[in-house]
Amino acid sequence: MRQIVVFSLGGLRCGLDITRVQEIIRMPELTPAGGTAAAVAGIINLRGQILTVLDLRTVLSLSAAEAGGERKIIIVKDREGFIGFCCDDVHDILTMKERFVESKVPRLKGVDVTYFSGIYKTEDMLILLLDPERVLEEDGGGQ
Amino acid sequence: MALNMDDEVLVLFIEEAREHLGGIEGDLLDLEAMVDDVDPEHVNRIFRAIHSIKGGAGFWALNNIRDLSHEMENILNRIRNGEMRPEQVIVSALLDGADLLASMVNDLADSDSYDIAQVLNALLRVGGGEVEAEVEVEAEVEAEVEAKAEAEVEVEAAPYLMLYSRAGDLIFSLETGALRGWLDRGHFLYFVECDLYEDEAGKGPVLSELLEELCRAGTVVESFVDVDSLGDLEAFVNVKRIPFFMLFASIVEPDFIDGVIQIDSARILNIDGGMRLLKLDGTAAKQNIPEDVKPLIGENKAAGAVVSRESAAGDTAAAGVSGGAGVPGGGRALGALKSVSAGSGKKAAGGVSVSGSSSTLRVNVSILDSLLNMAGELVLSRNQLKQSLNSDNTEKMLHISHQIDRITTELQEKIMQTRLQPIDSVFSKFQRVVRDLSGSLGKDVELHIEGREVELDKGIIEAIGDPMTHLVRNALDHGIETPAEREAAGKRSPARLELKAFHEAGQVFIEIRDDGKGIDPELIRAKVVEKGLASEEELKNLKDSEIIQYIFAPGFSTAAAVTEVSGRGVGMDVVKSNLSAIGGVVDLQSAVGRGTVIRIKLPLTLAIIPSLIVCVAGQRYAVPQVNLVELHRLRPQREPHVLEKLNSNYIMRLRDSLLPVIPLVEVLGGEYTPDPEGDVKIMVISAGEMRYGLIVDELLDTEEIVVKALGRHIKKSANYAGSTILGDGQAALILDVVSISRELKLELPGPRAVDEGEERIHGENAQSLIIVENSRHERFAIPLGLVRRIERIHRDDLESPAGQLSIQYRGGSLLVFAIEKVARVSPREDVENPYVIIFPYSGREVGIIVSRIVDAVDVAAVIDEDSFRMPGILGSSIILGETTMLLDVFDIVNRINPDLAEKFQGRMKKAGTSQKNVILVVEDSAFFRKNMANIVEDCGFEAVSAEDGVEGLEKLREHADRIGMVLTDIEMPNMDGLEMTRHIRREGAYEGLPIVACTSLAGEMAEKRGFEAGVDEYMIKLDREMLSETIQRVMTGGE
Repeated sequence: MRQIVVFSLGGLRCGLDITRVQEIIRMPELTPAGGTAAAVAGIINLRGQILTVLDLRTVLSLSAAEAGGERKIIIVKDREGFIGFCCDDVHDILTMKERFVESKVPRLKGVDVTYFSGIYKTEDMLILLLDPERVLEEDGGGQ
Repeated sequence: MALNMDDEVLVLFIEEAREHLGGIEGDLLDLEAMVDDVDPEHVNRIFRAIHSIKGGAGFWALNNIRDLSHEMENILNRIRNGEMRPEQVIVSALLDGADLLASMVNDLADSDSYDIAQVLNALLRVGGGEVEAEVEVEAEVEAEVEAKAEAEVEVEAAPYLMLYSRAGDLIFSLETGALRGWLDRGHFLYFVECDLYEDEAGKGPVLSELLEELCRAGTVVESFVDVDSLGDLEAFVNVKRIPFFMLFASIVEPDFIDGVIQIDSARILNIDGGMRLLKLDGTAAKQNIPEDVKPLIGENKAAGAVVSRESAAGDTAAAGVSGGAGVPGGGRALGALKSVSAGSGKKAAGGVSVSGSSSTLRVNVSILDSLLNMAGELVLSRNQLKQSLNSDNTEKMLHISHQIDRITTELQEKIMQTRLQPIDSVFSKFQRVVRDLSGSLGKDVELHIEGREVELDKGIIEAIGDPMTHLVRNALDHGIETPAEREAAGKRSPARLELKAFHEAGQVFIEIRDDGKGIDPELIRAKVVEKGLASEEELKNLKDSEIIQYIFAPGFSTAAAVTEVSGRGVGMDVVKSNLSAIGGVVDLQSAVGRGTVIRIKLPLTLAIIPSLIVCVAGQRYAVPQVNLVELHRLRPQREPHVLEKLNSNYIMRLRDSLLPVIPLVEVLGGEYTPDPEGDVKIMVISAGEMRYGLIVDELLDTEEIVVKALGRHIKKSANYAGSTILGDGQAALILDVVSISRELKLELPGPRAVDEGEERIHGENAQSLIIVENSRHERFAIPLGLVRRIERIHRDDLESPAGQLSIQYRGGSLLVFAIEKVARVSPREDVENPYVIIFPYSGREVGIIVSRIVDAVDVAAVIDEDSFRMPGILGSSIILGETTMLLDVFDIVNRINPDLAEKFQGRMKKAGTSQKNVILVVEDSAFFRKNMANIVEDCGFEAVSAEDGVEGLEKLREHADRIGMVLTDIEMPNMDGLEMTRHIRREGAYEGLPIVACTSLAGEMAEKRGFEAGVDEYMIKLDREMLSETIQRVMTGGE
């Protein structure tokens, strides 16, 4: 029985396996890192550690977020250390009923669905299940 | 007593033994070096170390360690008495002994199974054979023991003694070695059985009382409560006895022991030296051994089978017993039970780390003190915070939160600093390596080590040990020739091997340099082709220096036979990859017949580097100071041709040569929009041989930052070398200015041309400077005009009563000041003959101490005060091709000893009679302004400063009635000196005010213009004598 953290990106609801999640924080002052991959939003100081933050919207080819508004960062375990995923808001933690999980993700307009490993259907919405490995490898791979 | 690895005291012994043995190698090598003139205190030190190891070993019955230490002690003693000389053979034996001890200490539980015979015999041989007799005696004793086989108990010549209860149950299985340990120390061993149940007659002892008694009389070595025999719960209710067994060691003899402990003498059995059980009256005792138990001789495994029964009981017993009563002192012994019974035997609760890297480290006490202070500050701030939360004072809370923020960052940085260790811990072991290897290879080599104190992160230090060993061994094996070969080649012996560590360009470099036969590119070429790593064609186009890089290619090895010395087939490619794993880079340079240099560059991670913080597009970045050559603030309006634009590239004219310049914002992906009105701030960067400029928006401060590694996503970009956390908690990126230049493929050649142009005097700001060095590669400049004298002293001449440096000089004491006490620079190199630069200050003479005088030059120093804004430093410039910092000597003295100035000024103020005792100093360069102000103050007057003509007039108005003289520069922004003079002359109020122009603009025309404007006198800047004299003359004369 898997548990997921449900978060939103624009109009999209996404889910991330909770065992990959270290913590969730409000977005602190971000230091941008110009000249790096587009998906790299920047770095932050997390209790004395420098954490790279990726902008999921960019990774998924969604439109950029509007300025202002509080964003959240989901801190995910990486190969060595942690990486932050920047999202709009974090909602619940759901325990998935496996029979409502579909592993085939249909094509969606305006979204690069290769980053998702499946879809979870609840009563009132569809949650796209994010594959963190895909996200991490894409822009940091080959190192 | 069996070893309990959790025992605190044992752990302490191991730590101390390790420490002793860690230092001993170096000490023994030093001892060997002083063979002709042995320092008894030195030998004593080594002796004491071994002695304490021996003592501990005896206590825990670690026989091998004890025996080995004993032999080493003997030899050391004789050396100490002068009976023996620490010749090479002897020291080698001692070194081997120390090595073996170290291995055994790291594997304590197994130490007695090590074969020490070879090393021991070597020691005996060099010791002269006297001691052999002892060994024989021991052998005799052992033989005796073996002969007496008629034991009721299984006496094993080998390790275990089995003790049974009267009911025939196996209670204890004890290592005889441990038991002998007790006997050796004059104790008696007793096997005691008693009943803990207090029967109606009250005859059974209460456990707590019993244990108290026992502990007073001796030590409970082992104990066991046979809970099993109590049966199940039902039976338990009816139980009438609780059998308790004990192995007890005491100095009380068998004749008296039953009087000391309240136990029936029939229940106390004595274990003698032959491991036999005797009753207290000396007669043999019988043990009731069940017939089906086979004699267990020396085998742990079998013991396990039997023992396991009691281990289960033992654990519960231990739990039961210790829960039962307060056990003073006996507690430790009860705990020891586990290690005997555990079937896993020797490697019981092992916490002993065998690996080379210890889990402790040494920290400088001063760092700990700082940490303590900071912790204190943090506590105070927290208390303040709590208080202020009750009030509604947000401003105060804001202030407190800033404080806490700052303290926390400092704390974190300081703690990280504790991980920095001097590289000496790696370097020093090479003394031994080189000694041993050169011996076995038949080569005569001298090892020179430089830079022992260079600090690196502990993790990196641990990682470079192996690669460096390989490189050193390689140098000895392949690089350095035999003495015969060297002589034939006309080279001197011994050969020279250098290990050098130093900081440069923000990284740590390690150099391994030998003057051996070098690497022959032809040989390499041939080998490369032979191994199929490249074709002859491909190699044809490569230079020699590039060919030898093939040494690092996987699959390459030139050793005709891969010698055991340099490692079987372990090639340079492994070295390279090991170093890459920690982010290091290795480079090789060689000259055939002359030698080889290997350079290892180690990464910044966890280095703390001084950096300049700049601001670009609203973001702050750090630029490592060592890459910075100089800083410029250009005013395009005033100097329109310094920065030019060619197509889309910017070029800067720097002292007769051209420098490519790029806006940093463009490097980072943004757009550059120059501000037509404002200043352009440019950092001149040195990237290897290249120099170029970066335009930034703001130049902020110089800070020492802790470098943190970047995640892999950002590491890929060439722009950044690392990241850091600034003082306010914000994360910031560290620019990799060298990589940036590579990426941009900047082409304009820089720099060699620039250096040559420097020495010409342009006019503006021409200066006579004396260039000095305090530490290697750090240069400072002092205006020659300030200096009265330079004295060369001997380092022993320096005294420091009450912490203030001074020397005896001309019959009195001259106060001496050190640059590093004020400015954040490296500490002074301790040379034999440093120099003291003497100059007048506040009516007396003082000195600044430096390690070296480089030169005296006349240069057109382009000084920018924005750079290196540090206490004691006024600015920087390139002089003689190197970044040189301009010293503010007055600031240095003043910060170290503020009283000097105060006292003097106090005196002068009282002495000053005239109302007008203020001098207005108008000068845009902080460097000159400060120096002139100091000279003014030294003359006993007050200085009021202004940066340009406009400010000058303002200040004049402000202090009009007190200003007796104006000292002004000519070339200044906003309003120059001449303009200001004209203004002053126009105002009648300042009639007769002496205006003295202080400038290096010489020439009749300039002077004429000055006089026309109304200047009274013309002076050369910073000729202290002349300036003082003029000041005195003008201020005291004209009234």
